[in-house]
Amino acid sequence: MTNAPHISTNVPPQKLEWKGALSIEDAGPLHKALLDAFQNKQPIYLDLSRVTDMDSAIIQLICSAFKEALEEGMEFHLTGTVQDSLQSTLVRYGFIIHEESTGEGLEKQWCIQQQGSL
Amino acid sequence: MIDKFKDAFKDEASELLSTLEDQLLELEKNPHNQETISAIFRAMHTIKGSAAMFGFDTISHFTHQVENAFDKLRNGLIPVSKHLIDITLRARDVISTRLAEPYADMEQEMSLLAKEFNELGSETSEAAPNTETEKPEPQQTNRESEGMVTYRIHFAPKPELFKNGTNPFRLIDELYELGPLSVIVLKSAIPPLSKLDPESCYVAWDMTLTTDKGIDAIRDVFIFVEDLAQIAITSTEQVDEIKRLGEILVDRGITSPEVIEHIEQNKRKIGEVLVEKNIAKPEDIQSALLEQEHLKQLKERQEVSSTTIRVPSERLDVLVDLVGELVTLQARLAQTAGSLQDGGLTVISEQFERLVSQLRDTTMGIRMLPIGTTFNRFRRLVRDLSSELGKEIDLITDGEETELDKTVIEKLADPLVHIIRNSVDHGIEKPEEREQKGKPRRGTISLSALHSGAYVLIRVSDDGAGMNRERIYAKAVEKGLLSETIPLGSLSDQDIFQLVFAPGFSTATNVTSVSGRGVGMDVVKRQIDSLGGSVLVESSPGKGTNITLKIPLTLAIIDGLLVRVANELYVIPLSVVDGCVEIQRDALQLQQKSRSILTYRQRVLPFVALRDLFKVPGEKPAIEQIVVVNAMDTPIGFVVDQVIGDYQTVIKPLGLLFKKNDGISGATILGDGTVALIVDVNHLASLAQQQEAKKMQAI
Repeated sequence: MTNAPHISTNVPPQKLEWKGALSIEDAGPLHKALLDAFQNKQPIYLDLSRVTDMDSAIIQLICSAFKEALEEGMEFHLTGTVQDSLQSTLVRYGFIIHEESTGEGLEKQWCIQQQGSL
Repeated sequence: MIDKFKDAFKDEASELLSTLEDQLLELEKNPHNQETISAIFRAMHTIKGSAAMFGFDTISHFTHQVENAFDKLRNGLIPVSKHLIDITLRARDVISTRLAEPYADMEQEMSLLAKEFNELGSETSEAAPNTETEKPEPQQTNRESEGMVTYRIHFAPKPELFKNGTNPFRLIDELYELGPLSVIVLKSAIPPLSKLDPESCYVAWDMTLTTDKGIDAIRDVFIFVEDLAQIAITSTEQVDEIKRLGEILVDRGITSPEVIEHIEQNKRKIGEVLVEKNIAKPEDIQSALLEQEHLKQLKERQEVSSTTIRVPSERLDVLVDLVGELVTLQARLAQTAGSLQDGGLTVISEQFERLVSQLRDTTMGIRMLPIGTTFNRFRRLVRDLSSELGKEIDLITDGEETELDKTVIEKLADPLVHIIRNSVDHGIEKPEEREQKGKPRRGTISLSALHSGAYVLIRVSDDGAGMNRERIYAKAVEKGLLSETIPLGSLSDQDIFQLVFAPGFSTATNVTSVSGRGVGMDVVKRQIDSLGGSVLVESSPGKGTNITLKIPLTLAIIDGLLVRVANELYVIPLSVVDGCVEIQRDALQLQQKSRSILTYRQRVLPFVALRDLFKVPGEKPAIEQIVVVNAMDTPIGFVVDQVIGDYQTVIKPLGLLFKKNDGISGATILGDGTVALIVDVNHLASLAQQQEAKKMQAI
């Protein structure tokens, strides 16, 4: 998981897709890729359907992206069906309160909390 | 009224005494287990208290002595010894007898035991007889472990936590191991992407943990990150009522009671107002809500675990009877609906049938008990018997959770006692003898239960001497159970082993108090037969013996196959039916000239006509049906006129007058009110075999 950032290159830059079990070693490259995507000033869609797990560094990266979008007045969305393993991680460590199987649902839970806490 | 309470006390006490027995045996195995010692102490304490409350003063005083001894044990003043376990088990028996028969003369045994308990402490541990174990470790954590406490944990890592290689998830995992935990993440410190260092930690957690392990156990989790995070652990007050949100926020120091009161007076939502007025962050509210939810769930869990009720078993019996009546009535309704050909009525009848069958299953489910309750008493049996006989035996049990109808379980206890006694007495050899044979000193008896279709298989196996064919044969001839003209070689193992179930059979050369009086195994056989079950014996010399009891799950309502012979109706339990074949009378007659056998699934199948067995008059039809059943694990065919179909059979016992009727185990009432007899398949099969043998002898 260290060297290759898990981003497909054959989709347009606004559509990002992450894969596998992501951890702090992947945080740097993924952060850069997200920043690049924000440069385009186009709505960004991040597909999480092939992510099996994340650690806190990666989850905070997504939360940070929501804040960036809010500050810059841009659109940032999560898409795809969230895998069971990832859902249970998110619930277990308090990132979401109820299990959520879609990226949209995840976004909803996070955004409401996000806007509230800003 | 007071009698009612006394009965309740007796029920409670006998339950406590039965778990006490298990715990004592457990303590003998693991003498250092502080939890077991505490549990025994608690049980004694409860019995003492309740006994005094209901006027059983003698029991209360006596229990007090035992409790004292266990208090000394708890404090490490005396060790766990075989002697202690022995006298405590005896004390248990005394209390149990005294409870059952308040006027029983137990004074002598009681004062004797009380003396022994008192002496326990006065001896030094070297002088104590049979001291087998060293002093238990002094206990420091016991006080802490007495209650569950809910803690609030605030865990805010510094940014460099990640760089240090720490994964906060693993710390949370450790907290999960301590008890029920609710976790919420605090994300307000996370900056937008452009200001984020992806390798710094910005998140924090608020957690609510309920545990009996104490605050130190929580601190230990964070021991390596103390410098890398802000950690605050506070215990919450124990209250029965679930706190309101406002109270939690005040508790947490986020706001004051006055503010909450003010908001409540204005009938507005506390969370909203506090956020609006910038008194609290949304995350504070969420975290407080989570704590409230955590406590609510905890309370629910406690409530769920305490919602069992005690119901007298007679009421259950009445319920089963009523369900039985309902099943019969439903059959009648179905029949009437069918003959009236009324569509509306048929629909009602079908819905009714569904409900009745659900009701039947649920009711039967209520009567099901795990067999483990019966297994437990055998631990004590094996322990006492083996020390009496100077043998060393372990009892291993498996499948305690297997459920069986309560009446079946009750009737199983005696046969199992006999079988286990036999294994201890005749099966397992003395330790020296075992060593000579190259076996481990300690013998093993294993007791297991498992489901197999509509039956439960209960197996008692030992690694003892096994059964001796020659000796059984010789004994059977001597006792006149077997004619000398039948050579040993012509008998199969099964034939030989079945002989031990004959009344008056016993091969033990010594008559002991344990077994060997020639009663026992025939009782086993009779009891199991009366349950509609069967006994299978397997044994190999020098290796051991397996005795398998095959017991039907229930005795009240079964699925049966309804068949007709002339105008008579019979029910064959569906669980033993293997299949049905049709046969032309001409072909049958042809075969009957020699023997009643036919080929079924490439095997030779003996068959017998129910018409002949029950002497039903009338002509046989041209085409007959053969129901193939498994009787004592060997297939046999029953010839009937017609197979009608499956039928929910409510078993009704036959009156005394018909008790002696061979081959019939009961009766059932059909929808139209007629009676059908339930065929006792095993009995009928052996009857048929006897007839066949006579026929062969005549030839």
